[in-house]
Amino acid sequence: MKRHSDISEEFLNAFVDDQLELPEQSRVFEAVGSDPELSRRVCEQRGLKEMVQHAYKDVPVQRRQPRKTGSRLGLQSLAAALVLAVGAASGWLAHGWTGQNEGQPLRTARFGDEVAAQRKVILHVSSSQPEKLKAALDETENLLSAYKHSNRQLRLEVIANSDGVKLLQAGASPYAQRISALREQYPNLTLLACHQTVEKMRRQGARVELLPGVAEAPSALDQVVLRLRQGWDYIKV
Amino acid sequence: MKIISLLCRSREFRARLEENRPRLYRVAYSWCHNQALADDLVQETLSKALDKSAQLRDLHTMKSWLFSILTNCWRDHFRQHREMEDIDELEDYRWSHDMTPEREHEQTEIVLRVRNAVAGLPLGQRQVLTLVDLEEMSYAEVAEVLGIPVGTVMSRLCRARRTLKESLLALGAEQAPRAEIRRVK
Repeated sequence: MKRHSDISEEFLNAFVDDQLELPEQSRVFEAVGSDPELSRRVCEQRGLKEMVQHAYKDVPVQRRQPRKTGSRLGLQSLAAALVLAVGAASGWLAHGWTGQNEGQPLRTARFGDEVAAQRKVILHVSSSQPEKLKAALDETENLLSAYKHSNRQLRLEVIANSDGVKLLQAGASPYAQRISALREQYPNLTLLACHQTVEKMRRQGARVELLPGVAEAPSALDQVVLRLRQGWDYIKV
Repeated sequence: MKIISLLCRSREFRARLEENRPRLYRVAYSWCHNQALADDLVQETLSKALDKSAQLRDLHTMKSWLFSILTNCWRDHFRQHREMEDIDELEDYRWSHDMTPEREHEQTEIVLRVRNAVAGLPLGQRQVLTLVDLEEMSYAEVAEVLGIPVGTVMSRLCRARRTLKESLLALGAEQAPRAEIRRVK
């Protein structure tokens, strides 16, 4: 077991940025579970990252005159400039943009006891990028439906922190109806939002209302560590 | 048939380029904190991308490719002008955005302080930090975009975050106090 003093700043950064290989990542989760100081360092680092992201959520945009001939992009850039200006005023920039799925595979990690007859999975979302929100929900639905069809037991917990809370937020989630349908269809699905994140959002003046049926976990990090120790599988989207 | 497929690719390509504009702008802004310059850099980037469209083999790597072009545009821009560390622009920025409603004041103060802190970082650290935090790029992608070794990415990131932490972490814990805005001009 690594002691917190063994975990360097660079390693910690790599953990927070999801840049560790899975076995290393598992080791850090394990260490976090038994070392409050390390846990504090992780939260602090994550908090710093979120602060930077928050500071650039709504960047000020200067309305530009549409470029005359010479610009290859012509009409498109005019349209884009207008959309950008309107969007910035309403915080649209904060809601991201359409983009193809980067093709990033979902990453899973597991340690602890062998899998019992019932499979247990905690799925972790911390980004509000549309492709990630979609991936989270698709994976959730795929797992639930696959296990149901093959008559196997599954307990699935979806936990959202940081920007990922958007997935579970009333008025912000693009998937409110889909989530409601999933909840109705699958009683073995639990939805959790990180209380730390929600509190932070409220302190910043946001009105945060979670979708019906979404509970709060005191801390996403603690919840993930807890489940890993209990032998759950971990999927990070 | 070939011509039609070329046209289709071109239209899709332009559309994909435009989709990336907000991302490029956000990062460009975080590098210079100047709306006009950021806008110019992004415009330049997208123009160059159109010119070099044949270079891009795989649409999936468009993001890194665009950010590489942005990095080059930035470099070119500052080769022509000596690099100003944005102090004047920062002051301009502060003043052009101070008319916020009172209840948003606290939040805006935090945002301003974070941006100031980021702007105060040396360029190399600033670029690494923003690409990782705002674009969530992998360290390998950042290395490719900026043309530096992965080890350098990691050490710059470390130093950047350490510096930010020193300036900012008190902010997270406490309520932002009502700030007095100094008149500098």
